[in-house]
Amino acid sequence: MTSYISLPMYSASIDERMRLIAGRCHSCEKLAYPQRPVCTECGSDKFEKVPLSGDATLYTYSLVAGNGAPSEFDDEQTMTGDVLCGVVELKEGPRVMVRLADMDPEELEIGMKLRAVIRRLYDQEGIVRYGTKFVPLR
Amino acid sequence: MAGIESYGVALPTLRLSASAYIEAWGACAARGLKRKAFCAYDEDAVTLGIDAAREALKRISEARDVSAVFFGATTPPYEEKPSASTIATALFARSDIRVTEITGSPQAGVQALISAIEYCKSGRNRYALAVAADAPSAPADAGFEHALGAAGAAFVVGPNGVVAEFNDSFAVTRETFGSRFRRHGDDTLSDLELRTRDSLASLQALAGNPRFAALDKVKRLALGADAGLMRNAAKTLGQESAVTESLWSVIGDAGAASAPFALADALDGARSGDQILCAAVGSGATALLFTVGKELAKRRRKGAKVADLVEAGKTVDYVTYLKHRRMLSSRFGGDG
Repeated sequence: MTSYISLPMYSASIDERMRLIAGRCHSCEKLAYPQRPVCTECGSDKFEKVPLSGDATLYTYSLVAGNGAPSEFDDEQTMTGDVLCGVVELKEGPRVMVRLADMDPEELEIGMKLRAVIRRLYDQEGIVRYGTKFVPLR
Repeated sequence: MAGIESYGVALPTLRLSASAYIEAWGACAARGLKRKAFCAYDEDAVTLGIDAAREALKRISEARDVSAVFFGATTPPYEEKPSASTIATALFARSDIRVTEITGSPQAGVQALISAIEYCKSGRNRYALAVAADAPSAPADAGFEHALGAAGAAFVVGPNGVVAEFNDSFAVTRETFGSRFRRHGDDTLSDLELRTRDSLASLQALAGNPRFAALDKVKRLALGADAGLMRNAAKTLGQESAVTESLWSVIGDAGAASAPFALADALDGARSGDQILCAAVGSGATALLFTVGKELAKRRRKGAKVADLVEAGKTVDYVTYLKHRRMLSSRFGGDG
């Protein structure tokens, strides 16, 4: 979700990225987000697709300071400063690494309520990669 | 009767005060502007449109029945490759959805709304989503850049119009030159600032339509208009007694989203039975007439209100504004 991927891979996972579609294991009902081919709990490879709510809390975070981000974020980092990343715990359970937006580093607080929004992740090969970021719940 | 079943709005978080232009340039060319909302580095018309649409969809249970998306914007990121498909993909699991993208005019948002209404009227039990979102941009050294802001508004349209029943539409088209244009391949707007008062002339032409002139007094006017046009709009349209909604002075010129965003503001404050006239201008004008329905009060309880979004936000300085709008970027300069 947070770094460069090829356009075919981006296209193949577009529902996960835009609508937070998770996989629910047919055998043990564990949710996998991002989706995986095999359940990490029971080893089953049968999943049902389910949408997640986009409600989350901040589990932990990190600031990627000057020139530390991958090259696709060069221009963004030059224009807007530190890149804010975090691990959020989704209401349905999975923890996922994400980009955070609409907040300054000093506003970050573990446990804060967040909501999923669609933003431009980066712009490469002439194609805008839209995907999910998390912002403070208003 | 067909009409609006639900609505939602979105504004960027970032704000720039008119005083920032005075400090940077000695004057703010947007007379009457207090502050404006503008897109952060990672926002654009598509992200605002999706945000507004999600607000509209969470207010109703008929979301699964939406079979068409009409997107009106002057600043989609691609000249070819429908951004309406990005919006539909972000919102719906189903792919049997018609998408239509309307661009090239500040009227595009209102045109998307009337297209959605006409789509619903042309078939039985049809639902459609009209999304108006925009973030117009101009060169930093152009005076007309000072007004340019951003916003999004979305409307679920359907067969019952329980939020606002559609009554009628009116349109005039005039060939105009020199104001607000963008040649093919250009990233930013041009405006020769000829002061021809084209927008006022468009409203005058609209008011000259006998069917329009015969309208009863409406309760609210929702206009995509700047402060100058607003001063004359109600009188020109023969609706001096109407409450006039235009958010221009507090969010800036949101292009194709201006009039739909004002319509959402009107719905936030309206009562059942009120008539609302929503009008957008640009080489003519289009006006839509609605009567507010009984479900409005119930459906607007959930979700963001225009006044709350306008009041919120984080004001930044002028250089931060230029950076977020990519106006200082040698890689993406000016193309938002």
